[in-house]
Parts: sequence; C-alpha cells; structure tokens
Amino acid sequence: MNKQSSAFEMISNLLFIRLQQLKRELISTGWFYSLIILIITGLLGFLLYHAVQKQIHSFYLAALIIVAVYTIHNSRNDLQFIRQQLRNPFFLLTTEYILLALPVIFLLLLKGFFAAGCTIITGCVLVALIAPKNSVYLLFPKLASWIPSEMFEWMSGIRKTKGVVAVFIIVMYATSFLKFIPLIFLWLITITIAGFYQFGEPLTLLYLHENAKRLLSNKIKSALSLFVKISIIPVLVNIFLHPDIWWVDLMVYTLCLLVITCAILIKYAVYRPNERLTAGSILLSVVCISPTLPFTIPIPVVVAAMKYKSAIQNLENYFHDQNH
Amino acid sequence: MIRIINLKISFDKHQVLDIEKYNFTTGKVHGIIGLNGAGKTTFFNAVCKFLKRDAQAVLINNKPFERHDAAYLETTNYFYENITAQEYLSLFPSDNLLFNKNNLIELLQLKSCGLIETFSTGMRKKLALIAIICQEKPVYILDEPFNGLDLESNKILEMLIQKLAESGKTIFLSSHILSPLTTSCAEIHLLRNGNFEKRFQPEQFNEIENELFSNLTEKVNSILKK
Repeated sequence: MNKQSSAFEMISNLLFIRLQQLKRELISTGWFYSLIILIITGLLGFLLYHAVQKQIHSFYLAALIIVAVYTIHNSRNDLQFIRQQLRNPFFLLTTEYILLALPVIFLLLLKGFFAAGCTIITGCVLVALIAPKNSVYLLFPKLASWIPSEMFEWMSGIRKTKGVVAVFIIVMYATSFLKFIPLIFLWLITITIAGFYQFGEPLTLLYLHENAKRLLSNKIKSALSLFVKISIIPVLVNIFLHPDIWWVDLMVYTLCLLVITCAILIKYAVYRPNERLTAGSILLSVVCISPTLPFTIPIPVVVAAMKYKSAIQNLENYFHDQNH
Repeated sequence: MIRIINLKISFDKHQVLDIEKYNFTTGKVHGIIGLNGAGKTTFFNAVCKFLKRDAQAVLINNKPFERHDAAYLETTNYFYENITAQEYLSLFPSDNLLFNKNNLIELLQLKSCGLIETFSTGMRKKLALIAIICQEKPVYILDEPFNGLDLESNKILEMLIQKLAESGKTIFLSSHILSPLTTSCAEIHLLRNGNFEKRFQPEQFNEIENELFSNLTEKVNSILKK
C-alpha cells in the first residue's frame, strides 16, 4: 500500500469513527434534544452568516475558533496515544481540527472573507503542531491547590486543561474595561468549568454527603460561590464603566451561573460510579451555547428544572436507604 | 454482636446471597474466604448498604447497621483523575485517634504530592487504605486489602489491623491468600454459594485448606483426562 492511499484510509477511518461517536451520542441524547440541537445549530449558522459583515468581525470569529481548537487540543487525553501509536499524527490532528472548523471556514469563504478562512486553517495546522506540554500548568502550579478539597472536579479539571482557565481569568480581568470582550472570556471560563463535571466519582465520595438533595445543594453552592469569587469583580467593573450595557452583563452572568448549575445537574442525572459520563455531553453543549444566543436563554432554565428532578431520581438509587 | 438475619441479595433473578442467620462477635478480626463468585464482595456491599437490602437484615448491637457504621475498602479502588494523594485524603474525615494520616503516609512511603494516576497498583491500594483506616468507625471492611501490596506493606497492614482490633474495632477481611488471614484473624468464615457454611477458630485454621481443596486433585485429574 502506498503512502497516499494509507493516509486516505486513515482519514476515512477517522471520519467513520467520529460519525459513529456522533451517532451514539445523538442516540443517547434522544430525538427531542437532538432536534433542539439541530435547530440551534441552524440558527447559529444563520446568525453568524448575518453577523459577520466586516473584515474585523471575520477575524474575531477566526480567533474564537482557534482558541476553541487550542482548548480542545490542550484538554484531549488521547494526544499521547495518537503521537506514539498512530502513523502521521500531525496530519491526522490537522484534518480533525479543520473538519471541526469546516462549517465556519465555509461560512467565511461564502462571505468572501478568504483571509479569515485561511487564518483558521493555519491556526488548526499550528495547533496540531503543539506538543502536549504542561506549559500553562507550569505557570500556575499552585492553582489547583487553592481549590477547596471537596471541589475535586475543579482540581482535576484545572490540571487536565493545563490551567487554561487561569489564562481566561487573567485576560478577563485585563480586558474588564472593554465593552463585551470580558463577557467572551467569562463565557470561555464557564464552558471550561462546565466540562469539569464529566466523570462519576466513586461511591465512597458520594456517601460523604447525607442524601441526594444535600449532595446537589452542596455541589451547586460551592461551585457557584467559587465562580462568583473569581469572576464578579471584572463584571462589576464592566457594568460600572459601561452602564449602557449593564443588562447584557447581568444576563450573561446569570446564564453563566445557570450553565454551571446545569453541568452539575446533568452530571448527576446520568451519574454512574467510576465512569466517564458522556451521556449528557450534547445537552451540556447546548446549554453552554445559551449565553451567546439570545433565543436560547430559556434553555438552561428548562434544563435545570428538568435535570434537578432526574438527578434526584438517579442519585436516590445510590442513596436508597436515606430517602425513605 | 453483628447479626445477619435473612439477608438476601439477587441480581437478575440469580440469588447471590442467601444468609438466614449468622453472627459475628464485635471487637474481633473476621476473615471471609470463598472462591470467586461465592458472594464475598456482595456480602460486604450489602452490609455497607452499597446494595439495597432490608434495614433489619444486618444489626450491630441490636440496632440496624447503617452505612456510617463502617469504613469500607473496596477490592478495586477508583480515584478521581488529576488529583494528588494529599488532596484525595483531605476528602475523607480523619478522626481515628489511633492513626495520623501523615504518619501513615510516611510509614507506607507514599508520595503525597504525586498525582494518583502516576501511582502503581500497590501505591493506589495504600492510598485507599489510609483514607479508610484513618476514619473513626466501629467496623472496618477491607475487601482484599493485601492485593498489590509489597511484602513490607503487607506486614505493616497486618500490624495496623492488630492495632485496630486491640482498640475494640470489628474488622472484616477477605483475601484469596490464606496466610495473611490466618495471621490476623480471630475467626475465619467460609462463604460458599452465597451462604456462610463454616466458621473456623484459630485451632482449626489448618483444616481450611482441606475443606477448600479436598476434592480438587480428583476434579483436576478428571477434567484434564477428558
């Protein structure tokens, strides 16, 4: 087999695997939520198409996509495996990232913003070249140890994402005097934190709480209070300096709090001890998008209400003796 | 006294545990032996209420045995990824006056600042063990605690178990190797087909092998001849 055909085979295998993963994820999400996701994706594309009018907008969008790709690259745990075990890992990673960014690249090309489209492609290539180093984590080695021990999800998540959340926090503080920009970083902090809740702790840790309701309230209280501590100052500064958009700051902030609440509730709604909890990840993605799109504002409220009930029901299977 | 009364556990209509009546003296080390699938882990899970069971099926000093009455070391220990040993230990109460967490870390030569995923099987077992025995509980359930430990740590664990027993705690131990049980236990109980079939006192410990393996040579030969 020549090199070209083996590379083609590798890409088609990769595409097949990704499609299978997406199919399984959609099946586990259910048709109702899948439909919502489809509608949101469509609307998001439509909004982006109309929102990106100037060259500068296209570069903002390109930068956002590259940051997202970098975050994914930095937090994926199969990087070592891909680099050691698979042939031509750089080619594979680049393809994967370009495929991920393809809808936005298409959109930009369609609007004639070729430079921004090429920037995304170049960004994907450069990100794929980055070796899995703990460079950011080394800058903040004590970061995770400042987190209270009962918030092990945050400790673990901060280390897993190499402390990228600290970079977002610093940029958010540094740009707090600008209009809207700190809100973008607030959102990035929120979705990074929401991603921390994707592994089911062992039962011994679950039983450190008295019952299902207490567990959920402890988890939500501690997460929200820490989130407020790290993020409230730049938001207040932003409101003070830009009183004309105080309601945008307030709305986005409330939605970010709701996103974190939903992340916790979704985790426990699908909780199984000692397992990676992938069942709720698409729903969580939908919730995560909500602060960026005005028409999706009710989604986190509805999800929080629905998932609180299912989280209690699911946890009661484990706290069976405490609830009757 | 820990009393088991009508403890029945089944999975998918398959009865795994069916104990009508059985007693354990408190303040002693009890060894639980049995072949794979005999129901040892199910028994521990049921006692600790990790599995749903009748509230009156397990009594300690005539009161229902609750989850908080026991510290339970499971056979396989799972840890939250990307946290250090010290952070993991800080999640659990450390109110047992007999043991100090830091002393045990030193004694068992654990890297408290290391991330748990970098630990070997034995190191992980030691970490889980420290988290369990540092808790102040009347009962300690240690499901195969010797698995993965090196020779020195095995010996240290035997000593720690003795110290717990001397302070009046009840300890349940399981192991697939008899020697640590015969050294540590005051009684050894044979679990077979989901029920306790026999209780061995120290003077009967040399009969255990006979009891378990009496027909084994015959069985092995007959199957190999097929």
